[in-house]
Amino acid sequence: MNTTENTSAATAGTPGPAAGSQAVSAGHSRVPVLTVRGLTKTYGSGDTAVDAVRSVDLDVASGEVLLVMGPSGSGKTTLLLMLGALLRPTAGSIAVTGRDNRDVDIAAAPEKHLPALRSHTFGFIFQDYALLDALTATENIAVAANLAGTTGSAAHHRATELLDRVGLEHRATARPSQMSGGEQQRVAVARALSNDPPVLLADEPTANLDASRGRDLARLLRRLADEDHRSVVIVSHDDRLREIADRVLWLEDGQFRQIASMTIDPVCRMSVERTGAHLEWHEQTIWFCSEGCKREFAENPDSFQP
Amino acid sequence: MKGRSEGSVPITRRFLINRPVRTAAGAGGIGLALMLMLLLAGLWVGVQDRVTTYDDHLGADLVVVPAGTRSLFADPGVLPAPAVDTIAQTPGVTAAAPLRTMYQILELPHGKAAIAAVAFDPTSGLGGPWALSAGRAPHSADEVAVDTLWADQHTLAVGDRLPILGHPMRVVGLTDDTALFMTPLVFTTTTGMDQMLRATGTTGAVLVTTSDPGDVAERLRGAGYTVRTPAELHQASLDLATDIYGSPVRLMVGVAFAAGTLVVALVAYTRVTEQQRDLGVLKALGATPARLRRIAVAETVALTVLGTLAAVVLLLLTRELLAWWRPAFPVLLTAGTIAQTAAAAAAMALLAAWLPAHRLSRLDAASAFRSGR
Ligand SMILES: Nc1ncnc2c1ncn2[C@@H]1O[C@H](COP(=O)(O)OP(=O)(O)OP(=O)(O)O)[C@@H](O)[C@H]1O
Ligand SMILES: [Mg+2]
Repeated sequence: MNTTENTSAATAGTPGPAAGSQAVSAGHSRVPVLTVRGLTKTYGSGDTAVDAVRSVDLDVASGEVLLVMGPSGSGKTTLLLMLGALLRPTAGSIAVTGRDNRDVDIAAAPEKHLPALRSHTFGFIFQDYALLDALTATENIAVAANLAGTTGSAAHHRATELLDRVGLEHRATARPSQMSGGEQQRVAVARALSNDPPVLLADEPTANLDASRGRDLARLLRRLADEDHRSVVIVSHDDRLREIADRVLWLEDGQFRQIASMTIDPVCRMSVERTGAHLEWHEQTIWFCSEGCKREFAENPDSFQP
Repeated sequence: MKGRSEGSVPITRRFLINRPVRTAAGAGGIGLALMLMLLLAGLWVGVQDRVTTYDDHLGADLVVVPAGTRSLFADPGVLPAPAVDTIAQTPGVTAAAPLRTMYQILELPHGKAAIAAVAFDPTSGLGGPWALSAGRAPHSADEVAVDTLWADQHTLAVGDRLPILGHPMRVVGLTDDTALFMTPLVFTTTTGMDQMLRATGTTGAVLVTTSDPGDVAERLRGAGYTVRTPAELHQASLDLATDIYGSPVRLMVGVAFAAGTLVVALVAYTRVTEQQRDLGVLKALGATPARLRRIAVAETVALTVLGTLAAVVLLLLTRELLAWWRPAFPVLLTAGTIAQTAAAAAAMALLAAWLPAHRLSRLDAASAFRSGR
């Protein structure tokens, strides 16, 4: 399947097959790398229990870029943590196909297998980059290679190669504190690639970047899916990421919702459901994330493009 | 451990170098605590050396003491003066010489001073001073030799007068290595002391030389005498010092050890807390709990090693300072003391590292994603 088609499908707002109890699937000819069934996470218990993710089904194919959007507190990070073997689900299964083509159920894997799963199967990209400030750019990448079993000059070589790939070969000996946010995030992407993982997981990767750096990063993630056939799961509020996504899923209250019913708040550019704050303008119903955005729009409608 | 991380990025070293001031402060704190332990241990060894210095320089093979006497200075008694001749004639005895030892309080121009007085027989060569920094050993009844450090403290020099029991004795020599723990040794002749005490019919103890101490001791005991070897007297002095100072010293060493362990623990804990985000990131990247623990333990051990080096440097400085300020209190470092302190440091490091390592095993791998929120 070619990327252009996919991307246009996503930007047009056409959803993947319906969400809900049915699996949200890439569907097409590609092999699923991640197969999630009935995934549930409840924090705490009793009166204080929070159902952060509720019985989610999901398939992610290799080479696919999946964007999960949703309001704050909807369970995006929780979902991503479970996918990456960083958080034990309360129920459900997560089958992942490793580089060796073997399937492992992360949800049921014994605790002692998790470190190896993390270091061999996943590349993580964090919102605040999460680089180690005591290490240089090269060392930050080499350390992840070390954890995946590559040591010595091989790890160093790999780190150098990856820095080159993200266009930072000239910053090899710089410390994170000496780099710009964009540079740090590119080092973080290089680090996520150091173990050559089949799956990249990114939580709000563009949140701390300005518009143009955010777009650069988005393109870089797209390339990693296309060129290396990696699955990329991005969790974000950032609408700009829709451009590179094959699919966009809307998570709310721990469940996927029909994205077809979604529309964009013209003020904050967030995807919103067709419920709550809205007004009529030029014979069109416009929906907002909050009364605040609605008021802002009402004061000066011409400055926003619905 | 080394083999497996061979060629890996040296995370522990980077962590230590990254914040040199904190590393130095941590190592310095550990160093101070260890220094305190070394200092106390060194002082204790010094005390033990001081309280036995006279026992170790008697020059005799056996010492006949009054019944019940265990230690020369602490519980002296009297023997009849003719005992010296009787003992000298015992088969196997090469020489026998009288000796008196006692604590005395001297009235000096600027106050009172406690001394350990020794009256020996200058003709015998037994029980007298063994090292002199000035002058000579006393020969006649009105002569004394006093400890050099004490003489310095009281501005006494050879030729000065020193009143003992109301008699103006003449200082003829200054002796070295003769500061007991709290009191200096002051040497007089037995003739002089007997006169001062008006006790010419008695003596305190009898120093005996012989080539066959075992048999001679048996024979003397058979004749009703109480016989001690210098080693027994040495031990008695040690026991006495331990009775008096042992518990407080052990208590202080214990407190220093506890304080040291707490300091190391606090330093280790603070570092791990500071590095929690970094360690969480490593965990998210696939570091096993064992590997994270190794990083924390290696860091604690490295800090403790640095701290131990700092302790030695601090101790050498303190020792110089003390030698200048209170020369009678030597700080003696034996291989044993250093080994004990190193063992204590290792124990501290392991005890202290357990805490953060324990904390790490509960470290949430997800925390890396949640940081910055
Ligand atoms: N460790 C935790 N203990 C208890 N509740 C938690 C915990 N982590 C998250 N939650 C709750 O679970 C829900 C989902 O949280 P999550 O962080 O997954 O949301 P999110 O979609 O990533 O939000 P945001 O966009 O603000 O990052 C929220 O209600 C949150 O308060
Ligand atoms: Mg989140």
